[in-house]
Amino acid sequence: MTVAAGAAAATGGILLLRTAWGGERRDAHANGRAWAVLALGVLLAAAGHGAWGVAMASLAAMAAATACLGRAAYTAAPGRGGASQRRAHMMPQGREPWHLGRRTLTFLFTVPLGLIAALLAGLALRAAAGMAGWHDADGNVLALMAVPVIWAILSTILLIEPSRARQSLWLAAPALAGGVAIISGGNI
Amino acid sequence: MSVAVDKDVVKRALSAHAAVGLLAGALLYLISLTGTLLVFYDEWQRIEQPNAPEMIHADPDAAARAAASILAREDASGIKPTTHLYLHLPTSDLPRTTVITDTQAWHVDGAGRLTVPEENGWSDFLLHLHYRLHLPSTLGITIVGGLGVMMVGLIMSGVLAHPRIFRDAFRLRARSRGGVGLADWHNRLGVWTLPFTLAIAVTGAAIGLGSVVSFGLAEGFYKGKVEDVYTPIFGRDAVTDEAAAPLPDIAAALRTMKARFPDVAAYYVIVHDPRTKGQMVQIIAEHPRRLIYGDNYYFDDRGRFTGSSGLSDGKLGQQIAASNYKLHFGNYGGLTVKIAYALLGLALCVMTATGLSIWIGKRERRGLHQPRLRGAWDGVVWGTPVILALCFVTRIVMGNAAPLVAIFWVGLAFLLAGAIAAAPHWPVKRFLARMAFAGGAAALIAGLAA
Repeated sequence: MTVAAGAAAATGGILLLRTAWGGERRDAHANGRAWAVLALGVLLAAAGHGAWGVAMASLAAMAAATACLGRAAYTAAPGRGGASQRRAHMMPQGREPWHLGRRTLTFLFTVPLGLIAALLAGLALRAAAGMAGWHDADGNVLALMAVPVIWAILSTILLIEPSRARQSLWLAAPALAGGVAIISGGNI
Repeated sequence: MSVAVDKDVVKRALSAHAAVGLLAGALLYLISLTGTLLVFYDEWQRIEQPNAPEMIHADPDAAARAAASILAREDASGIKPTTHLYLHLPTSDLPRTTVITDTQAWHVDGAGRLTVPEENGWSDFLLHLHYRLHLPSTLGITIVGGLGVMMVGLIMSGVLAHPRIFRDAFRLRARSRGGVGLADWHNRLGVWTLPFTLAIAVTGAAIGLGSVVSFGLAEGFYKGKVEDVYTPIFGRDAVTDEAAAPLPDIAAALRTMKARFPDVAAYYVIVHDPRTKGQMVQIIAEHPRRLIYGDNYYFDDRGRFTGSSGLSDGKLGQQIAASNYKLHFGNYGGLTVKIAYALLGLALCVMTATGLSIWIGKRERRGLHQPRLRGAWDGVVWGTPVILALCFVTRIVMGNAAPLVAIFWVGLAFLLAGAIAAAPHWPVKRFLARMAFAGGAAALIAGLAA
């Protein structure tokens, strides 16, 4: 029952957001109310059945948002406005050089080196958890869940960061922390 | 709501978004599409083998008889003794009893008799394509885990690259041309399915990279023993003692389970090292209204309860690890949640497909026409469902032995080559889109006729 109430509140929050964002001007109070109702829904669902409740309320909220989008798509007027022409600068245009060396290096930084740095950072977290007296189950799961998230964050930063020197620092920092923590807290 | 992000960061985030999309777009689309289909993994099994016996409950004595029967059959045919014996018990999604060894699997009737061999050619083909792209298991699952990481990265760079993404969250100019409609679909679906996409990307990445991370943890903290990484999380394995012993009393274990834990639903029995002194009975039981896949309950060879692994009430780490799977596959709330996951999965397919189309469209509007590149992408987007439909129809027509892996990869390679070659002269997209709808209809007819 609490989960159902949470799902209903989350749905209501989405509809309130739709109303608040549909006006001519943004109203901070209306926005705040909508977000508060959405948050209340998630909290109610969590109080009812923990993570399962949150998952159910989130699905309800996403369904409500998709329904709003469906309506927007159905009622959309035909238009001829031009789409964004922002260049992604991913591939050369015309006779522009390919910069294959630079691209290969970026790939190496982001994928294999990014994974190694993330793995070492994950092991550092595991070592820190062990030193803080966490149970092995908690420490190991922390590392298992953290590595992919750290890798994703690191690769995004590395792709956004234009300077190779700063990219190297971003890679070195978690790797170094990982190495030190493993040596001091692990079995290596 | 608007987020103030430096213009240069926005520009570079768009480059990062495009870079990851270009690098992994096709594989991400394949993973998204197969994941969407796999939401109905249990239902696919019922469709491709409709004649297997079904039941609401399995009688403990019948289950035990089935276990004894398959071992007797293996003894008679001289097969190497199985290291594990599995019993799938009926669930609401898959109301079948199946007994499985290292080498074979049989469906069981209500009396515990082995009736027909399990034939899940299509379902398992789909599962292995999604889990490991049909590559050797550790390599494949690690690559798929890496794709999950890329999906998380795409979410982050996508939000950074579009500072108005929340302000325009309900604006959908679906009928606008010139790339506006396509971009709006991509961005709006991206915003509103973000919790789902993030959840399946993070859980998928964690599942996929589990082998690599656990190897690192084993080397760093457990003297190289990978199994010791998982024991504190998922529970212990049997202690090996190869001296001969009679098969454990599975029926007694199932009865004890029901009497002692009436609120949970046992759905899987594993006998570790059967017919050795070190054997152990493990029953996995589902907890209603939880994201965990279940908890492990252990029994000795006389069916006496000896303990549980604590996935339902143990350490937070255990509960998180056990929740990854249901959260990823969407089997935690019956058919309604499965349908919601399938629709959200479809939205993810649309996002992946439109991402590269938007990029190609922008280049074309700047006068850079590359019909072969567009043909290749149209081949991926529309050709993949065509070949998947062909695989399903082939499975139904030819039977379980149909070489689906070869049909899929060879078929897709030919189709892509054809699309690239024909694109400068022929409307590839329109043709393949029609083929995809025709393939869907053919698969539906084949499924109904099965």
